[in-house]
Amino acid sequence: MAPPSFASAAALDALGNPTRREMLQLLGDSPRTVGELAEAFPISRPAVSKHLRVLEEAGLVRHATEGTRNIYELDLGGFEAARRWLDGFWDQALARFKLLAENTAPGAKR
Amino acid sequence: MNPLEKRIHVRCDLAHAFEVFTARIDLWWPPSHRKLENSEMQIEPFVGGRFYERDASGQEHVMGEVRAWEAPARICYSWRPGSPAAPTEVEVRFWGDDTRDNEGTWVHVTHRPGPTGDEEVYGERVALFERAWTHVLASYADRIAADESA
Repeated sequence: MAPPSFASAAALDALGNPTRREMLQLLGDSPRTVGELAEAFPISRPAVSKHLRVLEEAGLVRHATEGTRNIYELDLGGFEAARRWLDGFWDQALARFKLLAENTAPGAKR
Repeated sequence: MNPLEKRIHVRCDLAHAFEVFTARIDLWWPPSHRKLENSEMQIEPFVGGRFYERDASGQEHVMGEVRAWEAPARICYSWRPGSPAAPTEVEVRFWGDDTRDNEGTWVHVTHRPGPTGDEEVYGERVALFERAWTHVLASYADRIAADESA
């Protein structure tokens, strides 16, 4: 299992592709099969599968197999991890900022 | 809805807080959240300016673009957190503390998905991304609410 910081960086990177963002939006409306997703985009089915794999590895989507079909849906865990990563980043960054600002203030008391 | 918000109080005046946040960003931006090793980070102080890092060999990595520059009260810039990650928008507001001990400065960070200055690149896809983000956060909030009531 990858550490959370790695997993969420992967989620942010996966979000960098516009086709994948559109896929997430469609999946946000309702779960879909690979075939249904392929119909919605002007790209090949293997290309759709490839994007889905990136999204799944980033923890943003997951799939269930029903018979011969794979049905994809949003996996909210990935978005939660990305948000936690950003949240942790700002806590760390602002603590450093505060320390620097207070210690370099002209005529700093305390 | 639901942007990430952070507020912090610093014991220094408004002008100094703004200056440290912007001109001295290289000194406080965590080294763990940079793309280049031993890089120097800079925000160019004008609308359209770059938010970027540069390493000793001169290699540069642009992380965003300045959208608003209203010294010393407010700045706004786009930021791609993660290598080719989707653009997000950071707004930072500064104001003098007149509520507590009447000294110091409040710094308020709002980090939200888009809009960004990359409309020419992403066009309506940025709007799609925004809607997706909103939708996902709404689903997430619903799930939390469901968990809590369960």
